[in-house]
Amino acid sequence: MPVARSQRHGRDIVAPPPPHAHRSARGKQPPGGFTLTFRAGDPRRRLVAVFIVAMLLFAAVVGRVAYLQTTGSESLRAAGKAQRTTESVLHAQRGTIFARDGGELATSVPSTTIFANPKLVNDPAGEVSLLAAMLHLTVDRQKALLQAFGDKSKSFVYVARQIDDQLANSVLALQLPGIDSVHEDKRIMPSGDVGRSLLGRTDVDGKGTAGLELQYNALLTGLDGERTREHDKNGHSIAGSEATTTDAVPGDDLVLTVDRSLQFQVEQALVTRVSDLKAAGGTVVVMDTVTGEIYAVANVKRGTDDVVAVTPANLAAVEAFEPGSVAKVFSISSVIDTGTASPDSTVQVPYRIVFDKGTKWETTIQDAEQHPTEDMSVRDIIVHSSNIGTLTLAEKVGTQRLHDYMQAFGFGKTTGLGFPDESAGKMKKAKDLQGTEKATVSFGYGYSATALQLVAAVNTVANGGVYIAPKLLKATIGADGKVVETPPSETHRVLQVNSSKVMTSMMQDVVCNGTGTGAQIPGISVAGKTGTAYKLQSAGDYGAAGNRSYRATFVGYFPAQAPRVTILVTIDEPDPTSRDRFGGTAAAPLFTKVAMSAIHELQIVPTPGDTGCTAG
Amino acid sequence: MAATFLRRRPDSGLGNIRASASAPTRNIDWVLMMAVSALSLLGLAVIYSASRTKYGPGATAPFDFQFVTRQEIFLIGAVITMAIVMAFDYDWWKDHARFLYGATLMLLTLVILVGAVSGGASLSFNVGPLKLQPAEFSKFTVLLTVAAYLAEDRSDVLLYHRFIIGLMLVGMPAGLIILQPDLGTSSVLIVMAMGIMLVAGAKLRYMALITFVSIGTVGGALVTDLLSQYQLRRFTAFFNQDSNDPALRDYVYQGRNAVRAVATGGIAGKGWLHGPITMARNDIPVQWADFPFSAVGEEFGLVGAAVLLGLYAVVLLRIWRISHLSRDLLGTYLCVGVFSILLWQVFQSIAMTVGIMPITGLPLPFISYGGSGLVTFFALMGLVQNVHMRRYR
Repeated sequence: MPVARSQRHGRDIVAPPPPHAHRSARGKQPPGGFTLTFRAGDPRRRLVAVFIVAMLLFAAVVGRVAYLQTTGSESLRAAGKAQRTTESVLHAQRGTIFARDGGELATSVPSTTIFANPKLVNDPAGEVSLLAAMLHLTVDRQKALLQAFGDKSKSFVYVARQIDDQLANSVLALQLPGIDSVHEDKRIMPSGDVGRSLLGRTDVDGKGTAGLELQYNALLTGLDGERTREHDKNGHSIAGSEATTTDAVPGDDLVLTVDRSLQFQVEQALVTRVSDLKAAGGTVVVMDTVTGEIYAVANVKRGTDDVVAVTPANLAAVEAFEPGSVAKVFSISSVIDTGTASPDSTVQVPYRIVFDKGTKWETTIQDAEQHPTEDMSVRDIIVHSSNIGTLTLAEKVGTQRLHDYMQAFGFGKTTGLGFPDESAGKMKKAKDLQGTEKATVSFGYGYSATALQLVAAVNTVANGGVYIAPKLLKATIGADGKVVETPPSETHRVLQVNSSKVMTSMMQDVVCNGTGTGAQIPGISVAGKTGTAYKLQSAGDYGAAGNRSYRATFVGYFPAQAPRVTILVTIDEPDPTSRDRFGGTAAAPLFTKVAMSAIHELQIVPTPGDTGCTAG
Repeated sequence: MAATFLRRRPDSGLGNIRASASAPTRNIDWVLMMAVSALSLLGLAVIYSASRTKYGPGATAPFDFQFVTRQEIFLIGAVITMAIVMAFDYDWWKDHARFLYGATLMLLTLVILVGAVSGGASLSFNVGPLKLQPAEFSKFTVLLTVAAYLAEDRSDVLLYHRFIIGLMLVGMPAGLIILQPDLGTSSVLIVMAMGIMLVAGAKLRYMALITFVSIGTVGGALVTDLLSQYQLRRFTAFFNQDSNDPALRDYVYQGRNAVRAVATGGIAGKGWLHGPITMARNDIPVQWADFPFSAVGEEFGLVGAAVLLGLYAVVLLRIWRISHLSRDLLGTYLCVGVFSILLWQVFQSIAMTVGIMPITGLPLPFISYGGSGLVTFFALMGLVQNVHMRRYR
């Protein structure tokens, strides 16, 4: 090739040097190859500039790719996730609440909720009238729906919640524009209202709002699952994309200590008794003497419509009242346990004592029935429920020591059930007791307690002097089906074993020969104590004679020699004009009835040799 | 002749002229050749992976081997084209540049008037089963023309009138391509011209002017209705990547999916034919032509991306080296032009896939599906080899 034909870089090269010659002349001849030594001339330096630009562009791409594929990917996935993924919640089924026998008290069943997207509803009036006809909507509801359907700024409104699947299907079959459905569990009580006041309730979203449903809401709720689905711009799932499903974990089931059958019978008996007595309400608690397990809690109240019904609130735990004479069990216990007196020791008991005579604080305390000043044994005092006798004995024990016993019996603090809104009652410190309060606490005034506190306190005597906390939750059943028994209730000793035995024998006398004869059970010895408390009136006192209201209570346990159950019956405001307004007449007969049910349901047999009161 | 490309004759000593060390056939840059071959073969794998599961409009069966088979045929045609380009001295090509240039302008005009319309743009002639895109071929002819014109003046300084005329030589076809409208390819021509002029000794203010003019052109195209709606939207989508505007949704979406495909590939990738986004029906539209790098990123991961970019680096370095080795300005300019085109297209195609540039339909050289593009790039490689082969003449 002739040299002249080529356009060279401003200089002529005489001959095309062969490669090896080129290589050997490296020092003088400008070399080719990848090196930064250039021949003279601007273009060479400019080539370097091009190279640098190229490097920069390349570096940008390489950097970005490397970033994306290493550290950048996570944040990117997260950032894009919201727009590309649909997350649907997989609702966890709420746990079932079982009675101890396995009967379902509260459970969740699948149902369907109908909702509407007003943006898609094109004929509000027509759709509302159709829906109203099918779902039996009220006029108000129809109006509200019509308004909601007209509001095109919203895209969600409930039409009917938790309705029967079949009904929902027939509504959906109409294929009304904008109407859709979603599955939602509905909470039902398969056993009717049994245990209603214990169970409490859930709101429409299935969240516990009262009672055990509230207390164990976290356990019952379980863990909602989630399905995350990546979709393309048309809403179709992206094949093979990271669709993840986290399965819902159903809530734990609860097994209560409650015996469904006994609970039912107790509720029915209480409703009947309260109706018969024209009382305002009543509470019954049946508790296992040894384990503290609550077999039944019934609360009834006379409604504004004058119908007596089971209350939604568990009054046994949330309502505190002055226990009245039942409290003599605790003060006499302290008398026996401290050795202040033996059952047969006697004290002189007048009919009445006037405190702070001549001052403005003048108060008269007297026994229920008039009697001459006489020597009464401790046993007589409790059998005949003498206020004066009790306060005389308690005085010997001392305010502080009596208070310590009361505290040990569980007063002044909640039972440890943890029931929502549970009351601790009111109990003043010993040093804060003023005037006659020091005396009245010994026979049940000047402090308050819930039915649960009271039954647990009396149960202490039944249980050989050992306090055992009441217990409502027997076990939980996890999502894996594993049954986890709850730990035994907390216990502590209050009385010596012997003191409790002495108390039991005296309380047996109460039932056989004293105020509590109405609580006798043929063939089984019952120990118990009556109480007829004046209710504190709105004026702040207990009202004058003839204008009083009462709370009649009986707490007892049986078989006296080896108690199985402790039962509390309290009737609120029995007809004050009736003879049956007292603990022994209003509450004790119901005790017997409940005891008979308990004997059947819990298969309680008399202790060998026990003949009840008859042989006595 | 092909045989001599592959077989080096034994040097039989004195008198064997064909065996001369400076003979063109003994000076083929085999490293460049190998890198280009590797890229093309990788391209076949990527096209197959990115197209086999997808469906044409109204189609009942997926493409399967359809695109990869066509690309194989294109590849054969491209190699033949390269051989033809290599066979004639680049001076011969220079001498015929004016005819090629004239033909190009004619075709570019024709394609606007009678070309097949697809996606709102008139990009190609349908010749039997082929879609010829004159804009792609114009890269070759315009490069040849501009390089030839600028190399006429054997000076290290680019004179003003040569700058202006050079600019017009590029501007006319680039303008016609913008009218198609195809902003991407015209940007390739402009970048190519910038590269050559930079090396040809353009003053800084010339470079500033050409930059200004090109940005102005893009701006003007955006403001006026020159750009088709979809190109405008791709631009808008790039600057509004979080937009929920339904008009932009598709573009935002495909861009995001491309980025996501690359990002989810991770270090090692999900394996060939195992990329969920690549396999998805329509997550990344026309992935085999417009977003092949997303398939590389997803299925071969950072390792595969590094290999791909490494191959491009080898190709670019070899071209840069050849431009440097060339003893005449025409050779240098031609190589710089090819270098600029390749660099810009690789950068633009990958950068838009990873979300740092707006989406343009520029093919990824050697990888993307498309006959016109593949043939053009092999022709450009032929030019580079041509310069290398004949550097001792």
